[in-house]
Amino acid sequence: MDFDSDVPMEDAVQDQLDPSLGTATAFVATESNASSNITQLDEWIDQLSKCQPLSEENVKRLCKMAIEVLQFEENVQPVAVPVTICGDVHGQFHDLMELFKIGGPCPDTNYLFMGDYVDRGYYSVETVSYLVAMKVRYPNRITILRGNHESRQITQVYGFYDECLRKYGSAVVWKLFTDLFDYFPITALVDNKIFCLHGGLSPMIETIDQVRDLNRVQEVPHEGPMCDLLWSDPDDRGGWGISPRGAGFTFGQDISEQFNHTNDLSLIARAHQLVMEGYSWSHQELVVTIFSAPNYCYRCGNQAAIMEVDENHERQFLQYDPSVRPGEPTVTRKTPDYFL
Amino acid sequence: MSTPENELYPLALLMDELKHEDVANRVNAMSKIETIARALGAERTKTELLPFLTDVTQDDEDEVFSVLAEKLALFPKLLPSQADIPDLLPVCEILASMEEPIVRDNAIASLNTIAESMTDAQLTSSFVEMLDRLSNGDWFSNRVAACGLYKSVLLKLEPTEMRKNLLNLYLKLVQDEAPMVRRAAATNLPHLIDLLATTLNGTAQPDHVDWEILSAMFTSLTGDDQDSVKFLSIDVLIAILEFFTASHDASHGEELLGSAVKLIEDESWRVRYMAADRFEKIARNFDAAQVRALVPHFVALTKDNEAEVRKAVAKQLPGFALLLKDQALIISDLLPFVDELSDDPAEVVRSALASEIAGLAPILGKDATTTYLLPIYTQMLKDEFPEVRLNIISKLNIVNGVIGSTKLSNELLPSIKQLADDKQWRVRLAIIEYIPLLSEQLGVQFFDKELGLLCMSWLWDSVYSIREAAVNNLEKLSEIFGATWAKEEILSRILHADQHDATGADVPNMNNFVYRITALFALTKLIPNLTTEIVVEDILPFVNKLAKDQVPNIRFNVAKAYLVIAQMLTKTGAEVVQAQVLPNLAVLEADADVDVRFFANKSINEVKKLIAA
Amino acid sequence: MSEFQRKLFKVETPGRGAESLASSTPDVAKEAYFQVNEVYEDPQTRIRFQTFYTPPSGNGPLYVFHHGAGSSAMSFALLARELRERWRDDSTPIECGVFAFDMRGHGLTHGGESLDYSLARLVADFSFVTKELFRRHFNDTAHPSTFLVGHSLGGAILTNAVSANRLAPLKVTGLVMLDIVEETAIRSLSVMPLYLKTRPKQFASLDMAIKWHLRTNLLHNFRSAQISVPAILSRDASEGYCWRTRLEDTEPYWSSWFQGLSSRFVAQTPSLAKLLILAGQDKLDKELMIGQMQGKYQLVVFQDSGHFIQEDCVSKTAITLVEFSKRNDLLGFMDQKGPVIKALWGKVNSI
Repeated sequence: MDFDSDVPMEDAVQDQLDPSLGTATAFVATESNASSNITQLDEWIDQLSKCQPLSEENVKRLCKMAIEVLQFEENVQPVAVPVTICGDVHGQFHDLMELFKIGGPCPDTNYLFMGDYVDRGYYSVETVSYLVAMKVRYPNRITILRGNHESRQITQVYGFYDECLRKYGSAVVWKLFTDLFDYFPITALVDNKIFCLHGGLSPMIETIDQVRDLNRVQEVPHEGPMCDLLWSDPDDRGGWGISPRGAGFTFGQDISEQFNHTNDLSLIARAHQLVMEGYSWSHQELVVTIFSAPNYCYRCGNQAAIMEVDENHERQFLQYDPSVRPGEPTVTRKTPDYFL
Repeated sequence: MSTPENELYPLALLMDELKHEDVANRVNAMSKIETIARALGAERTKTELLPFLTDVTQDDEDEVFSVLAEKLALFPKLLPSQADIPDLLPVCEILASMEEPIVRDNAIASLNTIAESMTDAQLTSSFVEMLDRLSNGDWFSNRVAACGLYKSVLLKLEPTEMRKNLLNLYLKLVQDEAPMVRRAAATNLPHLIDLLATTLNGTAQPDHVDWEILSAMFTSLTGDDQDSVKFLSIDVLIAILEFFTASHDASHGEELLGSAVKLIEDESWRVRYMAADRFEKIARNFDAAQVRALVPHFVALTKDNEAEVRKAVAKQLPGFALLLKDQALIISDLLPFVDELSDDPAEVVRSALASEIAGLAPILGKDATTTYLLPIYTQMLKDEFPEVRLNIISKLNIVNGVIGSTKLSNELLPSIKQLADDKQWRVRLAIIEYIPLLSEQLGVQFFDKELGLLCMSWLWDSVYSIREAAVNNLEKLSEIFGATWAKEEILSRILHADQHDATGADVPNMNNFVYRITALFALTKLIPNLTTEIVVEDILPFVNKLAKDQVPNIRFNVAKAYLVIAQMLTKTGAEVVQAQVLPNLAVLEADADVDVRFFANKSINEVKKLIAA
Repeated sequence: MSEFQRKLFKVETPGRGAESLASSTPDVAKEAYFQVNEVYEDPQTRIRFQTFYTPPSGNGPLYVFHHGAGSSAMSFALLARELRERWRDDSTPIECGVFAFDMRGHGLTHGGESLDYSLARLVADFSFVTKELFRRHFNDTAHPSTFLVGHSLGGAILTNAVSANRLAPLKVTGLVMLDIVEETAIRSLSVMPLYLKTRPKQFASLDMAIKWHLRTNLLHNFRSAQISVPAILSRDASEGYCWRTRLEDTEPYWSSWFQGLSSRFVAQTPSLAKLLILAGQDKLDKELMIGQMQGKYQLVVFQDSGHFIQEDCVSKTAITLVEFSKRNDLLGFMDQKGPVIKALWGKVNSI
């Protein structure tokens, strides 16, 4: 499978200007169709919770509804407590259901997901459809941020594109979702105290207000502040460093201290890195990494975790293992013909 | 976007799409091939499309071939007449000969489907010719493909001689130089034997010549120098055994027992694994004396060097014991080794045993279960591997049925209490789900003394599913022990949770949202089992207070709880519904949060319907 | 995600189907790809290593290549040339250096009878070759930033050489492995004997040999095959061409080659930049998957490439390597002292 030359970067920008997505008309439609939309969404959620993907036509409708919700969210989306904060899911749909068994079902529990819903796992389509449907149905109860895998280019290499092709016979659904990803908020601020984002800090971003000034509705760029927020990692070494990943930066404790101080934060919560215990503190509890895909990619042997923050800002981590289910896909891979 | 049914591509456009540079477009075009064929009509499908598709097989990628191979199954009905169906075979044959397994498998499946719509004459000529060609093909993938196709013609060949020729051809595949071919032949052989068994019984039983060939195949497989071929002979053995069982022919029993034993004792662990995994299926086809003769071999597998083998044979325990039908023999010859397995160094083995060992209880009966099995259960409940504990607990109800829960409880209660706060939440869950059964037989006093606090403490578990199970458990207990008990033992503890620390149980903190919402869930669940008085005096005030909670999630669950309260009170407390429930719901319907408004509105509509009725 | 990937997407993808053999004239003169051809003789083993080298100029980095089993230095010929061109294109005063050599028993490095192909021996060979390279062409003051690029077995040798600290005084800035994953490699070894048994023993002509490599999809790039295939074949008595390297002889050593490679690669010190380029799909084993998900190295996948990435995707590999070396410019060949990251912090307070 080659990089899809049909989807140059310009597409994202064009879609943004699409008059059919104009705010005024969309809003009128939402109000008048509210109750039928809710019935429809509840049906979709029911279907998706059984791991049955929506039809292409319904994905199209869902994504349109989702844009109407997400385009009005902020680059730094405010979130109230109590909330349960979650990391990477990566298409491990059954483990996402396990997550809800541990943390409680949405909407009874409020959730904040920090990106990377697709790629690598076998059920990216179902996972992202489910979370987006929940977002549209309960916009106040669930927040979904953008991860570095919510991007056209990354999904063509790591599985989501191929999965869409396999499940729908064409790239239409992939296009719908990757166009939708451009609207996902890139960070969230929990009760003005916990700054949540997928990757980490950027040398271009000193204050949270600077995040608010970014134009986020675009493909994840290859460099610059928006790229860094989705790609950077905390590091034991101080200051800024070159990220071994090839994108973003590493930032040391001095950087986190200054950022949290400048912005009056108690914590930076982020995902992006696999941690064997499901969560991991760094920088003397100024930064926490949360990873919610147990036994990542069906072979890494790691636990997953979520972080509950209650209305008094008390935090509790809940760790969990992969969901138990018969017939877990075993990783069988073709042996190459030649290898020396 | 229009639906695929409406998209009628002209052939030229399809051809363009099939030549598109992007493989996704080519795959997409190929998946619409049936629509195209229908649009073209039967005649052009035959004269233009089919030759074109044959060209496609010369140069494209596996993704495209795979779709084409699958779609060809639809073609018999797309051609002008029955006489044209054999025209499909050449293109299928090319695809079936490809190295990519997905393409090959799809093509084989399509060929077998196509064969169903062919006449016997067509099969005997074109299909058999193709089969002959593939079976003698130079490249191994041709011969692999052939193996999957014999089932379509084996029974269609009238003259016995042709059947024998075919079987002899198959024997060559079983003895092929390429292991891949031998594997494919061995995999398909049981199905062929089944076919011979089902259709030929009565007049045209396979004769001794057939059997000589089949027996040569079996002997060849059991002597294969590749494990990956040899282990497939177990399924062949089972097919042969089942054939004789079905035809009530016991004359080969001893000989086949010998073959079975040789495979069970094979030096390759994969073969022994296969034998262990299908032990009951093998044993089922022997007579009582022969089954007894298998006991030492069964035992040998429980002591195998390979954990995978021990695991497989552990799973066969109840099935094999049931075949033995001899309690004394089970106790003397099998149980000592069951005991050993329960202490196996490999956790997967213990886990497998734990999931099956309960099945021995009904076979052994009450006394023997108490004497021999209970100690093993108790030991395994303390296993360090959670899955072992879980597997034992989830099958306890079977044991319960055999020896009665009083006996079981007395023996196991200490272990159960220990597991109540097991690290693994699924173990805790299994224990909770077992509680109602237990409490019913233990009686209220014993329950209050031994398990009461435990049941309350689960309500405040950190895992939601445990809290949910605890709520359901309390509901069931209140059903069993009654409303008064529920008020005294449950309500008082939940409603005054903050003051209950004297008991030493986990003290819930009502400042935490999780605790408040769980209390609300628990009370709502209990309502149907309580009296009007308790609901009005104890529950309603608590719910009213939560209606003003700062967390919206609590408020919309209050809105849902009001509906349950109203359902309870329509008959006996309608004035309370009017005076408290509806006004409070009206406040919630004007809440700042959209979800609170939604659920309040929903409850109001339901309550109004209740009142009207 | 960085500049190099954007460039990748602009690179036209090769059309389907191999080019016709007649479409171009091969330029197989090795001088076209490397300026200096020297023989380094190891006094201990008496093995005479054929080396191919073009020096860097200015502060340019040096790329040191190591081919895999059965291959030769010429597998990197096109890549070496393209790297030189890409640095030149960049309107900077500096150019990169490239170095490749034929490992023992491969290409023009004759090995003699019953060679030792153990991993430790191959690492020692590489250690000798790099020391000799340094002795002949550099000194402690003039000393390029070095990027090691190993294909397949070559990647395993380089990773082990770096782990074992066998490369001083060479200053290694980056380590690149091309299409090698421990788990896949070890699993594939079981089918290699059959593969070796069934491949042709001899070709009637070089053309036939090149055609065979393309037809069996071992190589995808005709231009590269024209250079790399002749380098691994020699004329035999019957006027045909046979394999220079008897791969069958290396079988006893296979199991040791890749054992523990993934964890060794991931565990390299964070000051060493690491890049893994894979062909086809992202088929990481557990260690590499964890390492990648912890951000320990950069992963790039060329979906349209076969096993010989440096030959099948010459331009993409070159772009990726240039971008990788510039990004990890620790020795300052771009006229800087150490990595300088310009933070915009502090502006807010001053306003």
